[in-house]
Amino acid sequence: MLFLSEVKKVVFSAVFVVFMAALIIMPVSQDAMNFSRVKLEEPVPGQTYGQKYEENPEMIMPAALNSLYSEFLYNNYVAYPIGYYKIVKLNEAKREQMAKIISSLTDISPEELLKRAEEKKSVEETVSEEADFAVHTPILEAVSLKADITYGAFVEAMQKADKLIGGGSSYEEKSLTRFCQAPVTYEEAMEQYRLTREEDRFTAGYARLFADYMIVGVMTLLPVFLAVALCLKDKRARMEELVFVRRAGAGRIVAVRYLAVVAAVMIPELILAYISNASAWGLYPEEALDYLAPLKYAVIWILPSVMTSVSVGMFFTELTGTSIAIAIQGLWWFFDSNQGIWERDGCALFRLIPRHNSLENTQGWIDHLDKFTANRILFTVMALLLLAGTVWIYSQRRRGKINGMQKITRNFRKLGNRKSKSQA
Amino acid sequence: MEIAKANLRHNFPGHFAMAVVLMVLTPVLFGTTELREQACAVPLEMFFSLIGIVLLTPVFTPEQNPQIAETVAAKYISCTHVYFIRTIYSILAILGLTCIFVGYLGSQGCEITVRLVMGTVADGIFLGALGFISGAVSGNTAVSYMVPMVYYGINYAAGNRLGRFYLFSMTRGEYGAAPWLLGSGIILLAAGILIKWKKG
Repeated sequence: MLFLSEVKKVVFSAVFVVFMAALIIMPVSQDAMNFSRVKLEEPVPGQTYGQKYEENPEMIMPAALNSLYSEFLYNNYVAYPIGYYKIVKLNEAKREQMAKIISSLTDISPEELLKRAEEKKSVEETVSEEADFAVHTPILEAVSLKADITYGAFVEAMQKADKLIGGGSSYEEKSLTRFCQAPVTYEEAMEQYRLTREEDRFTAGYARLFADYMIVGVMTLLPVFLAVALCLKDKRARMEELVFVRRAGAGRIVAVRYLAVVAAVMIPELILAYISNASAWGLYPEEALDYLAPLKYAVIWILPSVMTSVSVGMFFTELTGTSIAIAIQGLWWFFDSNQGIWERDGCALFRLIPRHNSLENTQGWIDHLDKFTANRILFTVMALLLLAGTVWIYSQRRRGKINGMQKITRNFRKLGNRKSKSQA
Repeated sequence: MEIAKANLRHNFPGHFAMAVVLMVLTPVLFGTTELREQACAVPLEMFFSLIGIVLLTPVFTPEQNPQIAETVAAKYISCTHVYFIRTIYSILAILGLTCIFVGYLGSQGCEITVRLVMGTVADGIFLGALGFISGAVSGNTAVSYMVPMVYYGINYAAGNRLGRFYLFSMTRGEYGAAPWLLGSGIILLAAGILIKWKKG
């Protein structure tokens, strides 16, 4: 009964109306609610099958070197340190270090490189919608690699260059493959189709793409608002004292509230995931589809982030009695939301929003499943620990030992009084 | 003047500190050295303008606490007057912080123009006004922050399909949205105060 009453509180609130509006708008704006025109076709020989990144030192080394040389001449380096576009300008000392790095890969002395850089005028930046605001730095003249340079030494030099730029540049080891794009062969396209058919059973790709849009747009940020609103509701309605004297234990009250918010968030998401996925079912009438795919990805991918968001909301609201959790989760979401998209070697352990923005690339998904699993387990555990912390804070508040911001401000006041007394 | 002083002392410092944190974080997250006008719009529109949410949204927050609301209602001076004063100093804070940050960008060799400054202020006021009106209508802190945040997120997803109300238009070299955003923002602020006045 307590659970249903808490679910009602969540669902019949203004916050939930806004949440539902966002939940529907986000996938619709990304065309992820209707896949009926997006059929994964079996490749036919003689077609083009797209491009792929390849680790081919013969192609990577000259392309990356000339890109770095060009950025050096204009002192204009493009980087994505936290996933957002950033232009980096190096100071004189760092420019000299960069000249030495480039010199170690070419037959040009650092002095000559610096002289050439001085001769160049500042770059004209053009912001391109398609290229994520990338600055196109024209390459004026090509430089050649030293004859005896090995790929290992080249990668090492590029790491130094990346470090000087501040990280997130094209010269990071994991990003160097961006300098080598090769066409996908018919055999590779057939292998992808086999994986789509046998591993994904067609529907998993659609379910993953839907989950990717939902986790970045809605499901990591918005649950915190529901949690904060629910926790502040008693306080605003002056019901806190009444709830505190109820027989139900702190653990039960907090856990039921937690489950109520998580259920209120996850059930509509799951319904939308099935509506989206079902739009593709008619495209494959003869195939054995995986009808559980939307459920699987909702649970293993979305749920840990939702749990974390709700835990952050409840923990900090119970601790401070304010809506500070919104700022904390908002900043975390902002810093994290664009970083996962660059992680081609699997998501980082502490990535709140793991990404896989592709209908295909099944092999990439399978290859990095271990990192993804570790990440999701970590976030589930972290969410449960925060929940345990919330139960403890709640029980302390019940006993009158913690009183949110009042306690904190009281302590500050005490400090202030002590200071003024000592001054007197 | 006394009302402004009391509010500035009790209600404003936390939110202002948060806005300053966002301002200080901007150069950490985005490049801010020797940028052309269009590239300058990236940090200004995509991050700095969030100060509008932090500064304008909480104008009605203190009275959302019933105990404070009751105490305030018993006072001689009307709440509307207090809300108006809070709105004015919040707008002044947006203008002030924008000037400081734009001044910093200028000192870093960035190309700063009047339309860039206007566009940034318009973005901030519009986002803040969305939170402001949501707070006035719902009387709920979470909703008042949620609405502008959702709108900000929609801008990533929907892009320039939002037309005159697209927040990141300057990053695409278009400067026509500012008057629409600023005008709508001011209308929303006025509507918010009107709603609160009607509610008594």
